Amino acid sequence: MAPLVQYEHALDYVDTPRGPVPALVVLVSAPSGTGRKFETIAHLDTGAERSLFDGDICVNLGLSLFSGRKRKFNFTGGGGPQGWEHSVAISHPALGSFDLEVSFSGGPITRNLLGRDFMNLIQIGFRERLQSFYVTVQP
Amino acid sequence: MKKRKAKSTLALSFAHRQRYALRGEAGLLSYPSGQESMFAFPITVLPRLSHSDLGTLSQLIGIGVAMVLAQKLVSLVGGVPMARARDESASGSLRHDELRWIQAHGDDLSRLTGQWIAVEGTELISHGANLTQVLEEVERRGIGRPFVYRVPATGPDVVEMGL
Repeated sequence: MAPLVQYEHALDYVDTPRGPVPALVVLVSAPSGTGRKFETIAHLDTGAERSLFDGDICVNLGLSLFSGRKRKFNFTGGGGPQGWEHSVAISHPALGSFDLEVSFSGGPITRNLLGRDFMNLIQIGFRERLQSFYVTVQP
Repeated sequence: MKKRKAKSTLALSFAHRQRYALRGEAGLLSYPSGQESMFAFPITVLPRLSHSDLGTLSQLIGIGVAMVLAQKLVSLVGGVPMARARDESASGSLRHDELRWIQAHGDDLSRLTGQWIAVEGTELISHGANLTQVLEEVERRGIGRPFVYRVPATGPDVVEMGL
């Protein structure tokens, strides 16, 4: 019998020009950066092995983009952007703060992705029909 | 926000559960582990309760019955389950105003596809292809923690997948 999970937080999908999407509005900051921080939308992507954010964010956190560990991201059809990994803090007003190694793209990307490395820090369940998802802040 | 903020949220949540669990294992309207019948809980717990606890228990039963009836009523009128309610434990902004503004102005924003926008409340503060310049404009306005967003391409035949 499958385990019954009781979640602590119920969150709605985030409204975007394309409609509601499973995402979080997160505050991004870098401990080794300039202290600048800002909020942006990050999509929750269970198909992404690791998190990938726009490289513009990295630069404006005061980080040197290409100094991080290089990662190659593969699309399902092959190819894909390169990313450079940096330690950042991802914070959400309800869920708290998470230290995460996020890769930043070398060029513009259409959306920031929180992948399964982020989901490794929480428990999450999606309910597409209700456009809601549920989170417990424990792995 | 520091990590201890999250811990305090968890601590509050835990205290909340403890307060209403009445010596049960999980929470409101739940039963001690191993008890499968809904009638087993009062049979097991009632003998151990003091007089004041019984008053609290009757209040909780009243609240529980009201919650179940309310949920049934909402379901009957085609509404959404209670779990859909927005999370009340949020201690900061979830940017509801900004998100509603972005969705409402989706058509207008199509001319800014690929650009960064900074929105505060229901006001577009700045936009441009260069995030640094957008943030500088926001900081000139004295906004210390801006909300920025790169406008995606939209269209009826566009399907989003991963990147």
